[in-house]
Amino acid sequence: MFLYERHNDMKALTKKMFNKYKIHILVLIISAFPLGCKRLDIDNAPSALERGTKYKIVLKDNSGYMTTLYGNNLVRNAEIMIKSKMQGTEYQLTTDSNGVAEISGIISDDYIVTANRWMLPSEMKIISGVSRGDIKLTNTNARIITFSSHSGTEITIPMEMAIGSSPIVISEIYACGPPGAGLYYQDKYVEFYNQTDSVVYLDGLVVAVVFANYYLNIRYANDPDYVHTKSIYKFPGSGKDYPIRPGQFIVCAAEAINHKLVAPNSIDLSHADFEFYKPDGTGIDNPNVPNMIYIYQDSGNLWLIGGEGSAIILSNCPSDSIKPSGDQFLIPIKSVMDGVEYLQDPTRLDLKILNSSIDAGATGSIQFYTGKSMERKALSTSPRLILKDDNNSTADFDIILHPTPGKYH
Amino acid sequence: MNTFIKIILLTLFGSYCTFAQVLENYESNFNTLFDKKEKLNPYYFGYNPAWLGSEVSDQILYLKSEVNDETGDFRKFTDPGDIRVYTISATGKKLIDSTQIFRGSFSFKRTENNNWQWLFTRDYSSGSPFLIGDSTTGNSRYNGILMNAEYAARIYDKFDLGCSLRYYVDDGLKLAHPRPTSNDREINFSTGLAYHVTDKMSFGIQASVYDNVENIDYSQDLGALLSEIVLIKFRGYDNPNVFMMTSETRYSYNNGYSGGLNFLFEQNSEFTLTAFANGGFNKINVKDGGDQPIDEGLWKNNFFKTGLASLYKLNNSTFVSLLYTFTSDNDWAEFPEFDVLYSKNNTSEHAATAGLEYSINNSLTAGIEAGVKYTTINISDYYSNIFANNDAFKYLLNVGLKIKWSNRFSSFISAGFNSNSTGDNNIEYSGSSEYFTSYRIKDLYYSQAGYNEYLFNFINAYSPGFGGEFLINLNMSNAIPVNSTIFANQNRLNSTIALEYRVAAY
Repeated sequence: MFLYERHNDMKALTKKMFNKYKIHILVLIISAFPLGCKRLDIDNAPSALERGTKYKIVLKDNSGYMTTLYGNNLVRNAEIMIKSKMQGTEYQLTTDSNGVAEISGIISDDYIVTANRWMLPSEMKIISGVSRGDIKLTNTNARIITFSSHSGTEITIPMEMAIGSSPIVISEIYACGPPGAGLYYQDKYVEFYNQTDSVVYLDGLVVAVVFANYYLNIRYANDPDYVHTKSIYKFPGSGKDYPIRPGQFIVCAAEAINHKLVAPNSIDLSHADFEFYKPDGTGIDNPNVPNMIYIYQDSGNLWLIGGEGSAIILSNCPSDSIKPSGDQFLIPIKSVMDGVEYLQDPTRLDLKILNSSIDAGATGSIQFYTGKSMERKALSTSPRLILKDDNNSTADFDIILHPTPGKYH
Repeated sequence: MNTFIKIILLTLFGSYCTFAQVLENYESNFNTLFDKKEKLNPYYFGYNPAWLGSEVSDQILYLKSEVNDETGDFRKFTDPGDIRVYTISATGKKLIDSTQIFRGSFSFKRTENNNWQWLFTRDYSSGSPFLIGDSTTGNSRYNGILMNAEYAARIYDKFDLGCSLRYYVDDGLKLAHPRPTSNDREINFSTGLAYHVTDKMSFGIQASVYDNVENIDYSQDLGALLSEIVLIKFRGYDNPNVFMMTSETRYSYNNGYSGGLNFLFEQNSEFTLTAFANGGFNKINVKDGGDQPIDEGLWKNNFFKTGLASLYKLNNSTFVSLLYTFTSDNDWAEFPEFDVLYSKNNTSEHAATAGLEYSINNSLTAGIEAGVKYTTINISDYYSNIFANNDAFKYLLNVGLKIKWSNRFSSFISAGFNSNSTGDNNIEYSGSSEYFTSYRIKDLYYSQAGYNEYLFNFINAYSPGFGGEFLINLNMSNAIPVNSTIFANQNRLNSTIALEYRVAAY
């Protein structure tokens, strides 16, 4: 009874209210719609068309060399390589006598830019009075540049003076594990190469794995001064015990054994040059292969680098100058001779863990247990092998189907 | 006796009902005649839930099982080779009192996208260019449940208010390695108001909103670890981003709003005129990356639809009908981070249909319907540097016959022929990759292909006089391309078989 009465009361009330306010309600309903649409954050189509912008790239020298030589700071005859982060498409450009290069018809993207202008010995003679050919102007501080209509049609890139490149470079990293052997991962290695025409020495050089925690989103790529690490080994020797000849490869293996015995699709690393043996670990120590000197590694029974993503550096920082910081160690960026980063998705440079002054890009896109390796590209193979070293792994590295320890593919 | 059997028997005999005539509520492929004569109102034409009272079903329970199969190689590249959809549904309507009505349904739906090359994007045909897939060709399946509720009430003398809520969820799985999974959730709410100016004339206003979320997951399980996955992300017809990856997560946030007006004029049963205009937009915002998603792109479609349908009763045995509809879609895609236009497409379609239905006697009714459709499509894919446009005329002819064998047994049979002839076709591309020239160019060729389509529909309804009514519906169409070298000797066969049981269970 109560429900019935309540129902009738409600109906009467509704009828009364609607009768009184029917015009208002109608107006409210009609007006609510456009107001609602406004509230809905209706997007409008952008006016700028993809591939519709023509870009003018201007290189400006901060070293003063160009001003000394030509009266202005525009960098002429420089080679520019831009590579789309998203698609990997590369474009090669050369600046004209006004220090300008133009490009159009490219997709909007963050591009990894490498601009180099090698100074001629005759130019250096004028500038410094010394004729030398290992000086270049390069875009040390502007490696990733957005090309889009919003970033403007004129892109100015500052160029700094740099002295050549590192005599020893990381020439290959193999980290993913072989196919067809389950979760076997013990055959990782890193390879170094002397690309100078003189003997250099490995004694005391530090090899460190850059620290990051992808899951907790901890990374220190923006630290301008230090590389953060929790995995440090150094080459043995006290000065000139371990030479590396011009054009020689050095293989440092996680375990210097013949992995083919366990994993047929793997590699024989029993003749590696060095072994990352962890004294408190469970790895096999090959007595015929000298061990890298263990300094610190926070976890794991073997020397470990990420199978799909990680970064490695080679530094000449004396091991006693490495600074502890909490549970990490800090290696000065200035001491880094070479560094390479690889990512599961190399387009996600926002997830980089290595400072872009060491490596502006990233190689990678290798899956676990595929037997693939990352190898530095060759600039020339004759009269001797010269590897590409623009401090930009996106452009400097190729993915090869099989690892090639101690040689170039 | 088993309790369950008792309940079944009790339901059947307890629901004893005599259907005055069978085949009063069925779904033919005619646009304005036969069953559609009863459906010339804003509930069906422009969907305004305030007209729920004009929905034609009875206050009985409809249990339906349906299988639809679409197969053949006359298709877009993005289409699966074979699509099979299984649906089981229960639908019922109830007059709560003289001023309120409720209708609800519950369905289980299984969609199998078989022989599907690359893609694993549920709404692959939405128009959004942001598609994700992998290098394998395989079968995918989506299992979902759909719940639908509609309610309408006479809120005041001449005003009806209605609303409807549609809720759908499904989970998807690609059966081939790397076995990506997906979860989809869709909510659609519509509301409408009807104002009956006189007994003959009504106006309505209607609005709807929907919100869908799809989550596609390529996870790093053991199987993914031990073999290689190539992930492919399309942002246009060409230049997909290709990755060697073991894990990826894509979130597609899909929502839209629409609003519209309705009109209905009915002069007894002599003349009916109904019209609607509806506009709104859909958009899909795509983000990639598990814990740190980044923008992949935004797609938006602004649409406008309008239509007018009329039915005139010449005499007790003859009806003539006229239908006109216009639809316009303007969609575009952008990359939000750079605020740059990836693509812009315009599609418009005018369709007109005229029909004549004649009752030869009480048992036999014949009908014929003829129509023409004019479609223009302009595609500008700036991202891929591909441009295409075409216009097409489609002529359609339907003939049908409704036969009442007895008060318990009726049939409907119809056959149709569609001829799609394209006019000026144009595809411009240069420097395209193999992804376009070998694969996705087929999407454009398909939209520009002329074809003939043959349709057949057979419905049979039988009421044994107790326990309800049985209805079987067989629907087939076969599209065969004409003068096409790309699709030579191919076809696309679509067949549906549905079995329905109607019972007054409540």
